[in-house]
Amino acid sequence: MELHEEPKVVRRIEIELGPDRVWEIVTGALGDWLGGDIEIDLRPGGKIDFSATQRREGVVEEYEPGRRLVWRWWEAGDQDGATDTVVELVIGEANRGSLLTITETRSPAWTWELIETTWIDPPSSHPGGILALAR
Amino acid sequence: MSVEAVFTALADSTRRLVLQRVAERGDVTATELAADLPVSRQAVSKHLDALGAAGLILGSKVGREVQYRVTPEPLTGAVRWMLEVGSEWDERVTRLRSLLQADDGYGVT
Repeated sequence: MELHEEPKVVRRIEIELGPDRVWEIVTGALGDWLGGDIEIDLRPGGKIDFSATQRREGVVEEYEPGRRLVWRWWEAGDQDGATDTVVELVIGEANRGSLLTITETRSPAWTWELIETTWIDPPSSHPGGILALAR
Repeated sequence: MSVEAVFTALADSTRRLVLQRVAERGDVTATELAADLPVSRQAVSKHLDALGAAGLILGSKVGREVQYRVTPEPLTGAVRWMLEVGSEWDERVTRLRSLLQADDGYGVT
């Protein structure tokens, strides 16, 4: 079994608009397209409250205006990171305008659970079993 | 089962839809799936082959048809997550496209 990646969902969208304009639209009206009222403080460490409609809350991890926004979010009320996922929005130039790449990745804690449940019978060639494969 | 094979199999949105339908209905044939989806029976068969190769579904012969069901693997936790989160983002992307469409000089490919 090869494990190059954590479970993730990726969507790529090509847009015939300049990256700056796309960034304005994407970050200026986050709630409009994410699907509900969202309060987000756009700076590293800024709080995200998406609990009114989506029962989610989170925190901004990285903010590079015009280029990249990364946040971590979880189910509202979750204290131990069991439902953490990380969302990354990246805008770059493309042939005909911009390319927006959206990635949502499950946190390492979830991946561990995945490895442990799928790798039931480690082969003798990996004496460390789960640990050896995961690192 | 290779996790990478699963990711590859799920990279296609139509294939995710096919998998979702198999999961929803269970013991379903390619013909029944094609009747329910906006793709040909031939295309459905190809997607079923890819999903089978990734170990996500299993087919069993019933008469002249093959019935498919999802494989009861532990991995389905991660797969279910990918399907659910994937369809959430599909909806969001649709809304975002409308927003972008409303902007001057719009064009989304």
